[in-house]
Amino acid sequence: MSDLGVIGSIGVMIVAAALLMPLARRLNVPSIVLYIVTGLALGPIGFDILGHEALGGHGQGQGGETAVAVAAEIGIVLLLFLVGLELSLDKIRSVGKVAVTAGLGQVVFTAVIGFGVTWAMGFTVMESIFIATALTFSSTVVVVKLLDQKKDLNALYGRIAVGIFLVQDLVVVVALTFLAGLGEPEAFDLAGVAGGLGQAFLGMIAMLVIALVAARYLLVKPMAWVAPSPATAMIWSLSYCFAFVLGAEWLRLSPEIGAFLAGISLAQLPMAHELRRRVHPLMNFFIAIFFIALGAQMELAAATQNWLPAVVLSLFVIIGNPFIFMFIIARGGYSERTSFMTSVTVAQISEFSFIFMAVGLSAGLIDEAILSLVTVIGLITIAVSSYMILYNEPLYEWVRKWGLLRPFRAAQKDDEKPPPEMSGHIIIVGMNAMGRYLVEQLHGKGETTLAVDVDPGKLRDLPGKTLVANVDYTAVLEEIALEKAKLVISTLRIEATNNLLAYRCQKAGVPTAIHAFDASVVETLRQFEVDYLIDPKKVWLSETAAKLREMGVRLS
Amino acid sequence: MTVILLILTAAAVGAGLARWRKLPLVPLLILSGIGIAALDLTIEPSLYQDALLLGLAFLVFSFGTEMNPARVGQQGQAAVIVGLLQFASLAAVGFGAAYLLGFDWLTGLYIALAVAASSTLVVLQLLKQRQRLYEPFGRLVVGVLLIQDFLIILFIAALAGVEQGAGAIFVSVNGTLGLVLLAYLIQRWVAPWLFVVSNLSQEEQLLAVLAILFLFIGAADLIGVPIVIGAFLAGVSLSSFPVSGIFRGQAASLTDFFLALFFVALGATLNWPNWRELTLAILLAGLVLTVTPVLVAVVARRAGVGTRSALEGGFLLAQTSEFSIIVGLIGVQLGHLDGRILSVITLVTITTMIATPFVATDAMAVRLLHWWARWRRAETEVAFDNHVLLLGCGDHGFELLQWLLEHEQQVAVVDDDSAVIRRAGEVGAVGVRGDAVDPFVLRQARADKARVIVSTLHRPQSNAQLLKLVNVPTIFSVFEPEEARQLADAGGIPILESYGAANRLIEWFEEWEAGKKT
Repeated sequence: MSDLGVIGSIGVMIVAAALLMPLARRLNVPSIVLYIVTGLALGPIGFDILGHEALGGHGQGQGGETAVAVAAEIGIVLLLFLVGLELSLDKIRSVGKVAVTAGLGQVVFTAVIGFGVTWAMGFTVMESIFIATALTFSSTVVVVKLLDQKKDLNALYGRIAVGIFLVQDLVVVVALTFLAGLGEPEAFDLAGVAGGLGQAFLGMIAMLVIALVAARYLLVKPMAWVAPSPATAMIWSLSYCFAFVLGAEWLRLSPEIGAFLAGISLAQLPMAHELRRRVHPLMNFFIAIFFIALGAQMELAAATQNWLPAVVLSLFVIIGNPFIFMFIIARGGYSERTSFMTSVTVAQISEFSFIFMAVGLSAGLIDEAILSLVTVIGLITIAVSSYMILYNEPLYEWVRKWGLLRPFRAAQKDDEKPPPEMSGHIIIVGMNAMGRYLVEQLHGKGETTLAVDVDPGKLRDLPGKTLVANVDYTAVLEEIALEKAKLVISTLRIEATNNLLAYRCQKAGVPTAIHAFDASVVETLRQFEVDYLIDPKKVWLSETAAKLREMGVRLS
Repeated sequence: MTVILLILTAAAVGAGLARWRKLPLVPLLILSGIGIAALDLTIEPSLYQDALLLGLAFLVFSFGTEMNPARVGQQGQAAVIVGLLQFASLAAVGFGAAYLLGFDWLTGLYIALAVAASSTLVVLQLLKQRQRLYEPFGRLVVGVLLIQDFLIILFIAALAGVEQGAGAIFVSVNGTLGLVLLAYLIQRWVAPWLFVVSNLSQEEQLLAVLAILFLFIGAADLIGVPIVIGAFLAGVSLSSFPVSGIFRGQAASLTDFFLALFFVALGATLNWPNWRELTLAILLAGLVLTVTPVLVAVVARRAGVGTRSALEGGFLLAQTSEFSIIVGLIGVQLGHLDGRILSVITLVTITTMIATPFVATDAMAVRLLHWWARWRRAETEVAFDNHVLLLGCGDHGFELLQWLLEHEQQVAVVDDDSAVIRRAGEVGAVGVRGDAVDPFVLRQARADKARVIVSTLHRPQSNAQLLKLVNVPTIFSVFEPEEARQLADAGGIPILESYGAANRLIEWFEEWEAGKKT
């Protein structure tokens, strides 16, 4: 790493993670854990390859913003933006009540019990306050990343979890205001805290209103205009998202809330899903940097001093937090399964806890040992809960088998049925004149059609199912249930996309008909065993011949 | 965060304008970058630099992934000839211009390289918009661009070592060739295994792609060649099918994002040139806009390309490349160039890129075609009446021609491609070379005396114009129902091949399903 600067640091992070990837695959390690471990290996307790100046602080103050810190923050912003895009306001509102009760209830319970347990283990009151607060918050980023990976954001338990995190995010804002007061005791007064609280709530409401008004009145037309050019649409929506992030920062709300609201207000658009797929790879890139940087910044120097409290408190977070949740959510009338799945998501502490402790350390309220203790708890709980969330199905079965859930007396019904899977449908890609005609004809003959195009305008008024998507994206294949389709048709005049689609259909063993719009594309398509080559020129040839005959051109 | 918002907003404005006015994206992004610099906000310049570097790496990487020789089709030989000659001649012109204005030889070399190649981004966008990417003409142009991109990378390597003399150039070029070999090995053995055989999740694929990119960058840095070469060759190592297809979606997102980041950040960091440099910029832009069309048209004609295609190709290629800016940037980073020369190169690139869609139009080609035709005598005259007149004779037209001749019809063919005319003559038709909507050409082909005209022209304007020129039953091949309606209203006989082809597909499908049941 000579003078490569930011490319050097990011490059080292990515390459190191990629080198550890085969091992992580073998051990079924969630990618978050892989990233954090990579960070640990590159950080001061590992090989110490990344310089401290490259990483910068945890966003403490704007002055020391390094490119890596900015990239990490972009990761969080994009992640929450995606969550917003996935969920519409209705979906959030339907879980609002349980999110508020569970979110606030858990904060109170964990803080009180956590304080008691810590204090009982012999820490000072101030230390206990800090540790208990750190234990209270779960990591939005970790959970949302895993839910996204499991494609469960839209499941009922996923939505409740997101709702809870939003509530807790607001509590974090309050805690920060409170902490600012603790740092400078002379300026501390209750009115200040109340004022901060009021400002946060008003700000949140103001942004929500702006987001909804924009969604309803301002965004529809411009986004429809830009939709045929997906790259421009992506840049527009990202710029919209970051405007909300800055707005949130200005109102002293978290950037996460800003990004989430921006996502929500774009979620109603027909192109929301295509947008999601486009932003997704960007998020994956930046969030990797976030987690690796997080690992590299972990302060474990004084970790061994407090190993017993670390184990006890980790167990408290891993078992105690879900326990409290299970209790509250089951009271809300949700099924045992949903209650359990939601509860499992909170079994870790947040990256914010580290920042919280770092601030406490710099204010001289706690010492390094406490910071290291919380770091160890964070490491343990994030790693363990990642497994718990990723494997929540088998975990649920296992816990149920042992009868551990019976005391909660949750309802045994199913809250939601999974949507029926598509099968036996005909996928038609590319809504030009031919594509639209095919959809209309095939639908008229009673076939289940799924029309796909990147431009929502071209899908308008078509019968059957429609999807705004670019089939180049692997994520689309699942959504269109390619493997279950009866026939896949592409009328596109884009060679690369047609070839890729033909290749994928060949792999999946699905019959295909592809537009052979030029003689030069035929050979490759034949290699992929395309079942039917759509050749408009052949039609032209025979129909022209017929017309010539009709017109009396003597063709003996 | 403020910087990101600023860059993204500028990019949003630029991209919006580009879409609105149908202009190339790159120059508008740079202009909006210059716009934020003009706002004079005190932004930490290092953040722009970081954005610039990251953007550069991703951008060049994505160019590398496009390096697939299969896209050139049958046009390889002509592409090599045109590509090499344009590259060499314009480099000479650029060097000459810089020399005349008294710049030193190193600056001259950079300027030579900067004006030598045309822009892949701009030309591909235009070809796609006009749906001409897969015609022989389009493939020829793509071939020219691929060759030039590759040449630029090699010359960047040479320029990097130029100050330290021949030895350093040797080391630098050899290092690059080593990386080329590595890229080949990865393309051949590693990438297919990684992306096709092992069943990676999307996130893992992305990680693997990025790791390859950063490994190449690191390797380039280690052997002392500019990192863009590493980034480019990393792209090349992943350019084969189906590997490139599998991560194309994910890579496209990153490219779109970093492309915007790069060009806006570039615009934001430019310095204003002085008068002498401005003169150089104007001179260079003028030269690129005038020399390229003439040169390419002449060379392409010699290489056996049709007149019209040759002319269009010339105009289409008359701009400098995004690589020109990268060349300038590297020069500045290596301390070889003054930052203001980078501004000159950028200025030339912005001007010529914006000019392209205005210059490379149908109308321009037709006008020049007529002008060109004035210098030649009519080569052939059709000497019979009551014939079938074929306007345009590509692969399918030729099939129709043969079929008509088999049925003992008299056929005349109009096409602007001499090779097509020759082939038509060989099978027994009378060929007239020229533009099918040129009244002079139509008279030569005795269009008014024809029994029927069959047009395979695919430009709606040409077809509409044709109906005004002749009064003979005319059959058209049409894809859009709207166009078919218009032609029918104007008295033509459209064959709507899109609906026809769809109906045949449905017939096949029903038979196939019936077959499955029994």
